[in-house]
Amino acid sequence: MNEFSEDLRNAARLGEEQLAPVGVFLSRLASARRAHRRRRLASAAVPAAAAAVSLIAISPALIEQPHTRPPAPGAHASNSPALTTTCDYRPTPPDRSAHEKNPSNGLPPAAPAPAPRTIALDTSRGQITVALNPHAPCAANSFTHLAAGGFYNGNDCHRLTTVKIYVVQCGDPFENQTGGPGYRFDDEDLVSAEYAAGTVALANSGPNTNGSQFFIVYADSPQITPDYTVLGTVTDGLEILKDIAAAGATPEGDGRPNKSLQIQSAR
Amino acid sequence: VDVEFEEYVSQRLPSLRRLAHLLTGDWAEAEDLVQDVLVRCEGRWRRIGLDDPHGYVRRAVVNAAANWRRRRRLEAPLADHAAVLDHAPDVEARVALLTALRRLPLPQRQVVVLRFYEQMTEAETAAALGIAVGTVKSRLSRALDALRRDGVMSAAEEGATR
Repeated sequence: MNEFSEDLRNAARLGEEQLAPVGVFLSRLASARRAHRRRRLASAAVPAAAAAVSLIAISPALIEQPHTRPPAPGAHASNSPALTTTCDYRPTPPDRSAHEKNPSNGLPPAAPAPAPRTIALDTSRGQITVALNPHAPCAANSFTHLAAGGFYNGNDCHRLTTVKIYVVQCGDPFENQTGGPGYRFDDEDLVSAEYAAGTVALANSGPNTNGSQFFIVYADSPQITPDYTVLGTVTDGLEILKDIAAAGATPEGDGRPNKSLQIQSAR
Repeated sequence: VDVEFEEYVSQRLPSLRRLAHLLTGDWAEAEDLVQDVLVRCEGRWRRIGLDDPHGYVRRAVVNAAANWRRRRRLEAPLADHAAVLDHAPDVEARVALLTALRRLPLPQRQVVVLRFYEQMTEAETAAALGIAVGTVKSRLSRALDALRRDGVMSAAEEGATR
């Protein structure tokens, strides 16, 4: 097969002369990097582990395309988020339908209802209470919509990580880390995102790809980059997650929790 | 860090762009995609460096190319190489190979490119794509069948793959 490799190498170069020389590419890259750093000032102090990048993502993608959409309304909300927020819930393309399970009650309303201040997850090991982040109204709206439609009922948290980042991930209708609710929506309030113990944030597969999956941080995880919309903070029941974490995962470090955790209902 | 990063880029840029080219079938996209990936990697460079930086960046390119393909598929067909190239003798064979490659479904194309362009082992290919070795084998065999049918593999190579 060496000949075929050689053929591929030759074919891969075909037309290459139309590209920028390395020097030009490097200077373009330098200015793109400066722009990128400005956009992500908040992440400067937290270089993420290579592992952390893929770990949270729903899809197996390691690195995603940079932001191409404008930030969501309310993405940089101040202390009093606007009441006029509208949310853009976009149906996922049909070629992903095998990974999507639509909620029984359809898409969430674009104009979020006033969100409750807390949500409760009734799990097989007790209740977990989460105070919602007022600066992420579209995330809260989506979550309460899915919860009301019973989307999370019977969902097993499919993933536990115990290396570098400390999270339990739930909310995948197929429990294999690829699933979603048939729609995506934009990130919110990333500028203040931090992942201390108790943080509940939405998993994603790149910028502005939030769905139904979320993760709960059971121990401070400074290595998580501020790319995940914070849904809220656990105010009660964090010991349940710590208990799950203590039992470990298979494969070790990042896998299915050895001690199962099932969401019976969310409200 | 910066010096190391730039050194890495100058050394590996051509091979990263070619990888993206094979995966996307489009030079302009390949160039943009590699730039995006490198921008995203730079901030993580120090940690990536501990392990296998090139492996990490290559995986990132493969993933970005997969997303790019998914995004564009519904919008516009890929540009046709043959249309923009003149026909020097062995250019024709290369165009045929690129065209046949582009006709493969993305999962098969990924396996062919990683296995034979990047010359990864089956196990490395499986790890890079997050799939089982058995899946690599079956995709590869379907892909090579298709490439043979398109007549872009020589008789000698055919014998070697049996």
